[in-house]
Parts: sequence; C-alpha cells; structure tokens
Amino acid sequence: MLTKLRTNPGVYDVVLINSARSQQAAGEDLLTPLDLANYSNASGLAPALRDNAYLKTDGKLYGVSWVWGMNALAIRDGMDKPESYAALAAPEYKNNVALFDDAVTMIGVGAFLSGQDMNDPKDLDAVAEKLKAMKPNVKLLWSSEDQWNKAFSAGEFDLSVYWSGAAVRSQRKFQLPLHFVVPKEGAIGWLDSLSIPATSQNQEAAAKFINYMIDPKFYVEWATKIGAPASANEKAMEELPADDLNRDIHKPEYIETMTLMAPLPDDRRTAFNNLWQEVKAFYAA
Amino acid sequence: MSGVDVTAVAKNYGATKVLTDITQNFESGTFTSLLGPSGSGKTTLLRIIAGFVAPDEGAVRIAGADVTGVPVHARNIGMVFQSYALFPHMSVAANVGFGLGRRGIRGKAAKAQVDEALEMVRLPGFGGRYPRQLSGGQQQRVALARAIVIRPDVLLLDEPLSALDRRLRQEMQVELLRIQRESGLTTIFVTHDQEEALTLSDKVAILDRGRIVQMGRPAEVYERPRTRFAAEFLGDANFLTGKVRGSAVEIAGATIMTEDRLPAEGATVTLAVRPEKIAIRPAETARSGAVENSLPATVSSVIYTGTALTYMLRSGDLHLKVFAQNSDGSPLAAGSAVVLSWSARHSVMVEG
Amino acid sequence: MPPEASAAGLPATRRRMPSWLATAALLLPSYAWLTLAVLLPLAAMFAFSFLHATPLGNKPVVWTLEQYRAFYDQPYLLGVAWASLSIGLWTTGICAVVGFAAALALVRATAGRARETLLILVLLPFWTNGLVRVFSWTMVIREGGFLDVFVRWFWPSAPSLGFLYTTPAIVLGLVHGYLPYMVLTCYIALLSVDEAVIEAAQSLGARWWTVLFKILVPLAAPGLVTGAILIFVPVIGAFMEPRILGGRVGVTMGTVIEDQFTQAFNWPLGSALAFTMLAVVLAVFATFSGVLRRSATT
Repeated sequence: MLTKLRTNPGVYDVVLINSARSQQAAGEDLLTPLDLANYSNASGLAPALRDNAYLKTDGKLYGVSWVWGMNALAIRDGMDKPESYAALAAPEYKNNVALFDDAVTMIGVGAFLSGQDMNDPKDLDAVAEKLKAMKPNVKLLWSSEDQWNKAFSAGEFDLSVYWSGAAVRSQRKFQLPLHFVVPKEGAIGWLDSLSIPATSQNQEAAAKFINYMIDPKFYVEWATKIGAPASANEKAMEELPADDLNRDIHKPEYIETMTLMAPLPDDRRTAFNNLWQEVKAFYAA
Repeated sequence: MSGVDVTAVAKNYGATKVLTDITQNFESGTFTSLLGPSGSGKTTLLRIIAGFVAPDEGAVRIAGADVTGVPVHARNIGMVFQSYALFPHMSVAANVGFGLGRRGIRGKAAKAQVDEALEMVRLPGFGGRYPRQLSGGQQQRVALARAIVIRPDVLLLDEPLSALDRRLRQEMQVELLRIQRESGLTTIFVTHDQEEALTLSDKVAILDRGRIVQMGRPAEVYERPRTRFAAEFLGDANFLTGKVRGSAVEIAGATIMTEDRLPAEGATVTLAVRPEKIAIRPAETARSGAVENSLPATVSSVIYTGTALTYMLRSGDLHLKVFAQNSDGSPLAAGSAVVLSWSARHSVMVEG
Repeated sequence: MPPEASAAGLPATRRRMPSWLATAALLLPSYAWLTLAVLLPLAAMFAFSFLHATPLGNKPVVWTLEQYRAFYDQPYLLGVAWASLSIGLWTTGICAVVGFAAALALVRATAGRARETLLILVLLPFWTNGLVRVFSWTMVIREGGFLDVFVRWFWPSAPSLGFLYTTPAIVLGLVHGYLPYMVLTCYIALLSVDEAVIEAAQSLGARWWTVLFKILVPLAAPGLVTGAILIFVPVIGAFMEPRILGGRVGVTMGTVIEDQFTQAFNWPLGSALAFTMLAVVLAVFATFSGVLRRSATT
C-alpha cells in the first residue's frame, strides 16, 4: 500500500491504512491532515478509536477510523468462559487448545500473561515461558479460518485464540457453537482507517466519500446484507439489530480495554518471529 | 533312471492347443534338439520341463523324480537363454557363482568351481569382468558356464545361438558340443535351425503343431522322414504322389520303385525324394536300367552357386528340384532334355 | 574471408558445422529456459540471503552474512532440521518400499489396458489439488473420522485409531502425495529388466526373495535412487502437510522457511535457511552418489 502511494502520486484519492502503518505514511508526507469537523458522521465515532494516537502525527490527525476487530479467545458453548488468557495453559484444557499461528498475536498473548506491553515486551524470555507452558494443551496451530472451522466442527479443540470477525462468520455461516470471549487482559485490537493522500486531486470528493463510508445507514446495509467488520462508529453499531452477532461480539467496552497493534520496528518484528518460531519448535519437539 | 521323461503332456492357451499329448523320453547324457517352426510348441515344451509353464495335463520327471508340481528353483536345471540373460550388475564370477550360492556353496569351494566352469567355456581369468564388457559370444559362454557349474540334472538351451552372427554361431556349435560331451549332461536344445540341429544332436525331435511328429538320430530322421512335414522342414524334398500298382507306385505315367512297404493296391501314397539323391544326365547319354528309378524331364532353370547347382525341372505335370555337384563346370542349360534317376531306397513313403 | 567466398562456401560450411557448435545450438533453448526459469530466480533468492532485511520501500540495502548464522543464533532450528530430515527419511523410505512393490506389481502382474488404467490410478494424486488431498486425510484420520467409523463397523467398542496431528500423519500425507514419483521411476527401471534374467535366477535355484533382493532391487536401483531424490528434496521443504496434518508437531524446515516468506516477511532469513538446507542435501547426495559409484565398480 505504502509502495503504491509512493510510486503513484495523484492516482489515489482515498486509501485504507492499518493504524499501525498510518504514522509511517504520515511521516513520509504521503497523507493530508484531516479536520473531523468536515465529517458530519464522525460525531458517532468511538472516542478511543477516533482519537487514537496511531492516527496522529505531530498532533495532527491523518486518518478517520473506520472498522476494527479483535483477536481474543473463542470457547465452545456450554463450557465456562475463561476469565484470562491463562486458561490457554490451564490443565483442564489439556490437548484441547488451538493457537493462531501468528507471531504478533501470540507474542501479544504471552506479553499479557507476563504483564508486559504487548507491543514492546522487554522480557521476551518471560513471554516465551508463558507460551511454552501451553504445550500440553496445544493441539494445533491454525492459520486459516477455513481450517479453524473444520477442526472446531470436528471437535478437535474447545478453546482457541480467534478473530472476532471470524467468530461472527463461524457462527453465522456454519452455526458453530462458540462464544467469543475477551478476557480480563483485554483483546489484541486492530483498526483500519481511511486517509487522503497528499497528492489527491479531489480532496473534497474524497472527504465526502470517507464521510459516506462512516455513515451508520451505509454500515447497517453493508453489515446486515453482506456482512462487515465492526464499525468504528458507535452509532452505526447501535443501529444494528439488538441480537446482531456482530454487535454482540464487538461490545463498545472492549474498545476501551483492547490494545491496538502498534507499528513494529524491523528488529522487533524479527525478534517476535524468531521467538514464535522457537516456541513452535518447542511445541513440536 | 535319469534323463527326462515327459508323459502325456498337454497345454492349451485358451482355445489354442499349444501341446497335445507329448510323451517322450530324453535319455540321460544325450543331446536332443527340439526342432520346429515358430508356433510348433517347442519352446513351450522346454518351459514346461524347466517349470516356467505348468502343463494342463501330464507329468514331467527329471532324473527319475516327478517334478510336475515342483517350482523352478527346486528343479536343479541349467538353462541358457537366447538373450543370454546374464545379471548385468554382477561380475562374471558372481554370475557363474549365483547358482552355487543358492546351493549353499560359497567361498573357496565356489571359487574353484567357478574357475573350473570358466575354464571349460574357455574364458579363464574373465571372472572380474562385467557382462557389458564382453562380446555376445563371450556372454553366451558365461551363460553356459553359469548353467553347467551347478551340475544340473538337465541342461535346457532356448535358441542360445540365434542371437550370434553366422561365424560365431558355428564356432559356438563346436564349443557347445564339446562342453556337452565333456560334462555328459542330458541336454535339450530348442532351435529352428535344421543344420544346427543335425550338427549337434544325438537325437532330433521334429515338432509340428504341438506334436512330436518324429524323433530319432539325425541321419535317421533325415533319411527316413515319416511325414511330409518332417521331410520338408528338415532339408528339402520332392514329393511324388500316385497310386500303388503292384510293388511300385504309378506317378504321372511313370513307375517309381520304393523299398518301403506299400499299402494295398490302388491306395494313394506320397513318396519323398531328397534333391541330392537324384542323379541328372543329359537324355542322350543316359543309360537306363542302372538304377531302379528313372524319369525323363526338362530343365526349367538352373541356380548356379559355385560349388553346387540347383536344377528346377519339369516332368509332365511334376515339378522337381535336384542338387548336383558342379563337377565339370558346364551346367546343363535351361530347356535341356534330361533323365533323372535314383535308387529305390531313396523313395521314402511319407504320411500326408 | 571475403564475402563472396563465404556466400559460395555457405552450403559446404552448413554441412560441415562443427559438432560442438551443433551440440551447443541444440542445447541452447533448454539451457536458456533453465537459466530463465530456474537459475535466475534462484540467483535472486541467493542474493536476498545476504541482505539484512527484505528490500522494500526506501530502506537502505544492507549486505550481511548474519542470516547464515541462524542455526547458530537459534539452535532450536537444529531440532527442527532434524525433525524435517527424519520426516524426509521416513517418507522416502515408505515411498521406496510401497512404490517399488506397486511398480513391480504393475510390471509383472498386469499387461495392456489393465496396466494403463492402474498406472493412471497411481498418478491420480498428482492431479488432485494438494490442499484437497491433505484436508481429505484430516477427515479420515481424526478421532471419530472415517477410519474410526470404518473400524467400529466391525468392532463397535474399538478405541480410536485417529492419529491426526502426529508425525505419522504428516508422513502419511507426504507419502500419498509423493508416492507417484517412486512408482513411476521404479516402473520405468523395472520395465527394462529382461524377463529372462529373472527366469535365469529362478532356474539357478533362486526363490522369490532372492530374485527380489539380488536381482530386481539392484537392477531397479537407478529408479529407486531417482525416485528417492525426487521425493526427499521436496519433502524436507514441504509445509502444507506438516501444517495441516501435524497440528502442534507440524514444525519443519518447510514451515519455518514458509513463515519467513509469508508471515515474518523476512525473505533474507527464509532464503538463507533454504540455501543452507540445499547445501546439506547436496552434500548428502554427493557423498551418497560417490558411495554408489564406488560400489558399482567394485
């Protein structure tokens, strides 16, 4: 995305950027600063998302938060909802756990469990220890939603690290008996925002388009007829039917407790990947 | 008793009768050729004796033991194949020693026997080579050594010389005969080459459409063929068909004498006369009465091959072939009137 | 040479084109293709392996040997490499036994149309999507899967035989996928074995196992070796089967390398690991082929 912005100035009027990349783009002067006063629908945006630090550079806002989601836990219906990620290592789930095969997410879980900042854990050994403690429980590492659905419906595990959006789809499309649970440590969150490239030739139209994208009416149509991630617009979420799964899972209070994935410097990303690789090798051995 | 006995053996492939009621004794220590055209069943008979093919009926005995239900590996046979069938990944010594190893003979004892066998096939010191380093003739000698080193009860040869060129083949025939004589092995040799069969064999068996039509010493089978097929397949023959008149046979107006016992007056019989048994003389110099049979004829054509001449002749409706030595260097021209003559004992009565 | 002379001499020179030139001309297209399709991408990957980070964006390109220290810096990779090698050896070994037997059955027990049909059936795994093939195994060998259902048909109280998410499950998936290579190479090798050679062995007193181990296996050895190479190399780099069938234990060099390319976005490390494995495999084959050649000549 950033490469496209760099190499094609003037071609794009609106770009979708993960919040973890927003500052990088703004730092390279690729984006236009925005004033939310120009966006009538911005009033409904969840404050925690709207004013998220990752969207700001030098005090200026460069992105309108649009959709968000979480990585937390999914548990089979009828079982006690775990209060903490510590359940992943609890003996009652022996050989009954699926982990997400993703370094950032799993290091995040390990950081939560060792009481560290998920985006910058100083003590990686403590993270590794927490993750390695899950070994007797870990049955499989999933890497695609499809794989997760098949294994869950075959009853191969009851507890898993899972995506909120995927939890909605698994219940809606396949009627899988699961609950999405955000433990006390909070979820690992992501946020996508809409920005206007500095080189855009149609700044006004771009702003109008962004305003439309965060319009609750548009969102309800999108979410109910096609299926959508959770909207950053609280009003939009409130207009969903009361029993809507999407609304049920993406509760507004989770926005407060979740930790957004931060931009990772290369060496930290590499360290995360190597650590996760090592933990996986420990699981396999 | 030793040797090979085949009793009432029959083999069909589907509706095709390959062998019908074969009963034959192959005497111990003799060299017998199975001679016949392709499809006559000679190879099938050999493979039944070897054990690769199970007969539908009948029994096979080797060296006195009934081996009809015995698998190949337990039969103690030596076999040589047309394609040599050496083990390409083994040295000559390992090839020759293979059968010894199967009999529990290893080490020094095996080496001595292998050397002896290689000596016998005149390939001493070739043990370390690989089959691909040998000529066709040498490979076949190795195959022979491999087959005889185990002192088999019977040596089975499946057209072993037909892949060799003519000169090498003649050389190998001599070798084969020598080795067979030295080893004294009961040998059964399949071939479609009549000369080879006559040269090598103590006995020749002629096969025709799944039956042995005649078996005997080469000279016996050649001189006194019992059937038209045997006469034709082994060598060349003129066939004269006519009716019995008294103690002779009347053929195309001529009276042909034979020493064979003739059937009743008026019966139709066929006499076979070998082309080389017939003397040919120009009509004007012919003296009648010197031999029993004489027949006037006309030369249709002459085939000149240097040492010998082949005359194609006509006598009335009869077509005849005569081989003559090129003794005076002036063959008779086509169209010459001649008189053919032969002795009564060379008119051999044949079936069919 | 003046132009008119060369024009006049053209037919003659064409006929007398030196043999090395003709050979070179004939080989050129295949080598050009090889260069384009294999060597260039490989060279690019080789170059990547000496970078500090994946060259994207406006980050400066830093050359380094650090990626090749991976096995030293991350010693757990040795365990992973050993697991991959053992999966490779098991898979290749089972493929060799089963593939050789299947090829032998094809060559010796069938003929004509039946043989063609069976050969096509053997090749079927090649034509099925790998992912489908692997996922279908998860349904068979998981607890309560088709295997258990089948067994409990005859023995209702049977314990589960499901072995999904184990190393044998990975090996099973890999054997299924790569067996056709071995069947084909052994089939071709066995086809060229003269029937008379087998009969000669039998006539000399060899029983079936002697024929098998002293005649057929040595003669089909080139097929076995080719098949083994064709299987072993991709198997130690395989990642789909370990991921899907291995569950927790499905961590191999293949998955580690794939992770570097897809998840960690660390192409340099992925390339370095891949080339390290390649070097090890080539060293093994070099030793092995040397041994083979020596044993063939003694």
